[in-house]
Amino acid sequence: MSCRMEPLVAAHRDGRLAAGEAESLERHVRACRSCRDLRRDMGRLEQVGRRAFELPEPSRLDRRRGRLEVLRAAAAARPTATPRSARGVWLAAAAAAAMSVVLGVELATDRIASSPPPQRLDVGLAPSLPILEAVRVQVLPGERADYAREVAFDRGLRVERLRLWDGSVDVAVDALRADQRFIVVTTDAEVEVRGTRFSVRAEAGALHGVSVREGRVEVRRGDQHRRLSAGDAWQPRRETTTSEGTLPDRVPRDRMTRGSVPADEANVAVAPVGKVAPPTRPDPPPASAAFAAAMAELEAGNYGEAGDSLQRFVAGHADDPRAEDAAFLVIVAMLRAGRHAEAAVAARAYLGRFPHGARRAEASAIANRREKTAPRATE
Amino acid sequence: MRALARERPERLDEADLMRRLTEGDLSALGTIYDRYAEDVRLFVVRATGRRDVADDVTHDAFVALVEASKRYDPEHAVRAFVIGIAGKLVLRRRRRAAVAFRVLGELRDRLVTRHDRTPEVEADEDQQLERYRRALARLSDAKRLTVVMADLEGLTGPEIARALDLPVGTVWTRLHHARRALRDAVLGGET
Repeated sequence: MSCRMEPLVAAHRDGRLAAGEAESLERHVRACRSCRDLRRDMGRLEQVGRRAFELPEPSRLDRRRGRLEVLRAAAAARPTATPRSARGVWLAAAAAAAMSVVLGVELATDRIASSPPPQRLDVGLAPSLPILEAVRVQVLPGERADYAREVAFDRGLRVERLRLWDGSVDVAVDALRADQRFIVVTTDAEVEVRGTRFSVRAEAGALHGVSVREGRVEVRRGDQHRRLSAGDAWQPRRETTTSEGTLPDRVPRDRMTRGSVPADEANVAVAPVGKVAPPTRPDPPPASAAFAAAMAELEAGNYGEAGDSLQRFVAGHADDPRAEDAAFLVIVAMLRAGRHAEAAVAARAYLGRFPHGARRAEASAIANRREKTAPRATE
Repeated sequence: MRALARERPERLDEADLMRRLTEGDLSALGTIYDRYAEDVRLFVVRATGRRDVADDVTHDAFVALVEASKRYDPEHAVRAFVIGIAGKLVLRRRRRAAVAFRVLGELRDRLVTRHDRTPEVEADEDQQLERYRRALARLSDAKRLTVVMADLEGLTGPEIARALDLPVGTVWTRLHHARRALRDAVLGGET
């Protein structure tokens, strides 16, 4: 160090000097070449540093995709009170756009006797990869859930596992890409979802029933395969209480994902039934049912009815995380129904309700387009 | 309060956004993301030297913001707060997988190509940029993060100290050593 005042040059740059000290330093710098050089070099270093790393401007689509991924992950990770006292575990899944449907339910080779410790989603720190954008997980108001989501690459596939220990979650799965997998894992089973609308219920960690509202579902257990269509359901039937003992007590956790229970070890059997009413909580939450019904209308092409149903959903479930989706889908439904004026009104309602909503640009365009074209229509 | 609103309307707006976020309003998170996602991405690239982790860390930082919003002090800038979260994530990734910085050869591949300069000027500037990147890569994680936050992202010493859970004196010390190392490496031959 060639001048004892040099530390003060940095301190001045960092705003650490009082006014009097700063003036004194300025007088010194004017007379001291070493300090002048240091100050100049600090400025140059900052300029060089800012140029050293540049990023291309992301496309609008990339930006929106990133935003949606964050919002979905944040919605899934909303804090909930999660006592582990409840014995019933059920999962209701509703998809926004069901396409081809394949659900594979593979019960694990062995039952895991020891439950994993309670675990909460460590928001933002645990996942090293973004969660799948096609999957939305929500803990509905009044419900609770003890679960975690993790994403990993596995043989070229991006695999997300939702480990559910206790409580209820609502999952919406759009059609996944060929290189994506989404698996719900309980202590004794895993449910692989490709994109459908269905309900899965479990109790005490064990799978307890599947009912299908749209598309088709394939249930696999040992060498038994059964395909369920919309309206069908199956539930495992407990054959004897002693058969519970046929399952091994303890297996390594990583075996959960492999194989299936041989028929002679099974304590459940697949039984196609017209309607399944799980013992304790047979129906999805009212909000999910209402949303699912509205989506069914939309996907069936009944746009007018869908728009009306979605509007009722927004009005009746204003705090539901899907309210924004529903409000935007009202616009879509009205447009498809040819009710353009009502679509414009719905777009303005969307903007008023969700001024920072993810679809505000589209809603603005629709609202403005109608405003511009409306005078012509009246002429 | 009125006087405060006149002086710092944006800060109040940000405080309101963070308050809404703590109450579970995710539209506030969307607004904050729109404002600062690009800043955070660029910070991560500067702090790690890697573009391929920028999206992941940025995503994680904004998701973590929901929980961290409870600790937010309305007197401070949200941008610095989010960058602080991203900084912690960078350190955590570094500790976990030793991925933060792969130096020298990899950095050379990421040189930004600029076409609006003469070849001579371009060569000089690129050499300087290269020296900077190499020097930054040679710093310890802690010093690199501190100097990036301070000199490239414009965070104040107290903001860095809060973000990294450090005494502010430690921040000044790290900054001093990091800047001296960078100056020697990048401009040493010129001064």
